[in-house]
Amino acid sequence: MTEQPRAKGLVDPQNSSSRLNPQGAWTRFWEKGGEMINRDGPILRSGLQGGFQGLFKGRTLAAAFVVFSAVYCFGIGRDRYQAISEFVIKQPLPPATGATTVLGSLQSSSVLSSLEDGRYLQVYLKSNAVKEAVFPDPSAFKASYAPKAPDQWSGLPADSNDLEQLAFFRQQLDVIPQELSGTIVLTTSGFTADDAYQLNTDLLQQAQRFVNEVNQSISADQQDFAEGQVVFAKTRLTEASAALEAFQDRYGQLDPLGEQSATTGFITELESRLVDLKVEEASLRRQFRDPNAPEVAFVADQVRELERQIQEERQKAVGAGGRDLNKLASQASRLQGDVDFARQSLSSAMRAADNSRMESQRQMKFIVMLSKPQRPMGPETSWRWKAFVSCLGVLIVVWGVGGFMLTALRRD
Amino acid sequence: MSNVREGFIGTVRSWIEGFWLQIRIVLALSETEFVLRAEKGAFGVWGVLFEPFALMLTLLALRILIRLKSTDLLNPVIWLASGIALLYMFRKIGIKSLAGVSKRQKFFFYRRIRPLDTLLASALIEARIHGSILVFVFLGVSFWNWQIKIDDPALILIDFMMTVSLGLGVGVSALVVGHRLPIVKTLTKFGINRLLLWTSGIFYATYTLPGPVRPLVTWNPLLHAVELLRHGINTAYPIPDISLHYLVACSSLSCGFGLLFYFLNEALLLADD
Repeated sequence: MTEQPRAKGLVDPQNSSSRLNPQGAWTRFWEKGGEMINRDGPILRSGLQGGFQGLFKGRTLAAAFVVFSAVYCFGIGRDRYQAISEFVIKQPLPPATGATTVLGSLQSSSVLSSLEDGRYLQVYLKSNAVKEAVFPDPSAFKASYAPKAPDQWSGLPADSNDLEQLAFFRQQLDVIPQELSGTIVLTTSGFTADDAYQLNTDLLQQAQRFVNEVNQSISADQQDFAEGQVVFAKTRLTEASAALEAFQDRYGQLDPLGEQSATTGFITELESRLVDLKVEEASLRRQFRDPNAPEVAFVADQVRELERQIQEERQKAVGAGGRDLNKLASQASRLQGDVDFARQSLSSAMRAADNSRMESQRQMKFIVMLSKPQRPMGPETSWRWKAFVSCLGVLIVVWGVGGFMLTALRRD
Repeated sequence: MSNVREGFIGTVRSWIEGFWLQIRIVLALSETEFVLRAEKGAFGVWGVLFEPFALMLTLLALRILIRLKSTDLLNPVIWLASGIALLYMFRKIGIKSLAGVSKRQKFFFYRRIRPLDTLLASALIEARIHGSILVFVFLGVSFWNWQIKIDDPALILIDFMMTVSLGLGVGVSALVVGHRLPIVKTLTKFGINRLLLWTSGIFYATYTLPGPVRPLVTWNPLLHAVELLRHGINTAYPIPDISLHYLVACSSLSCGFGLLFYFLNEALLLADD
């Protein structure tokens, strides 16, 4: 180590190469990259670009890219103006939910509701419908955003088609719902302060219209449906009542169930009496030797007559030729059930319609402006730095990743 | 007058030449480090890139298995990759710096190569590896979803460079201070390996944390770096209590102190090593 270059300030490449032989890589680099120090001064090549030509070309291209980016971003690029507004979509809270407010859960639901509406709005404001509403005349749209010398890259070309116009329109606005607060930040940009401000104002009007129309149409649909259900339930109740009345007109104001019960009791009474007579007949038969004795025959006739009567009463109660109290009772019960059900349905439908009406009034949402758009006082300059740094970023990524991969491929 | 001008021009010219020479030295050392690392690894040059990539894939698989909750504002893969790439890059740069200059002592035979150059080269190679991984993951997910979305590329670039300089600053500071107080090296290694893993927002988003808990993690500048990277990809991604200024301040301070300590103790480092 007597030739330690740190002390002398120079190094002999051959010596150093031999010293580093065990490491291999450094030696290979040395051989590939050329000498480390020559007579004119220290020169060390990275070897990343693979030769002087490649190094020169790569460096020249990179320098040209940086210079061009700087010239464009800080010189040629047109001024951009930004108008920013911030709002929240709120709905009036029901007075009965005070307890929920105390518990603190209502705020989060309100934030979530606004956030959800904000996401819908994010899509809607970038739609073609909004673009056509804000710029009904495409030629005026093209004229106000036409490229101007010397910056021919920014703006909307005169020969752009509908898709290109929509894409450009989308670039001019940024709708960002804030996850934590539920507010929506609307940023518009333009090549003049008036354009940016006007676009922001127009979009706010579109947002207001969207929120009102959507909510009102939903509420109106719900109201229509509920009212339709009330009409349907009323019709059903009328029909069921009419059927019950027709039944009662035909069979009188009878109570089939009561009548059936009375008939059953009557038959039971007859059967009880029949049993008594049969017992009496049996007793007489034992008293008289002649079974045709007048006393026996009298009671036997009564028994036969009573049996016939019971049979006749039964036939009258359930037979086809009689009043068929079973069927009538079943029919009356069904009709009465229909009327009761229709009445309950009507009651439910009316309650639902009333709730729907109240809900539709409660859920009307409003845009609450937190920060109205202001006419920009001067151009927004941050885009220049951002664009330039982004260009540098592209270069760094190309060098960092591309060069890295090329080195790996070459070494592989 | 013309002599003064020529002298000034000459000074500037020599300064620029010296700067370019320094860059070339770092680039050369970086490539040397790359080759040395490739020779040590089992998979050659591609292993240098794919070993950290495999680690990231393992963590992604783990995330899929345990169904970790993430945010719907960013693709879950990009969300997780942002955290892992930055944390592991910081960790590697910091620990490599901590490991000191002893492994590269043979390079110091050359007068032009200083210990700091080897640390810079090491940081550069780590930045390129993890930057490449981030780019590949981002491109892969973008092509999978057929949608490329970067809202603020300038912020991403600045954030990435601040993270590199933060790792370098912390590592160099700990190296120099640890040279006098060895416990500092141990504590820094522990902090980088354990503490940062759970406070860097790899597995959670700051905005999902309750407000009172946030100060427990927002002291960590790496959390700011990770969250700012995610915010740069989608500006709708909320970053409460996260600030680029804090990251820049931490990065500048750590780098400043690191370089100050380093230049005051360079001779000591060389002598000890």
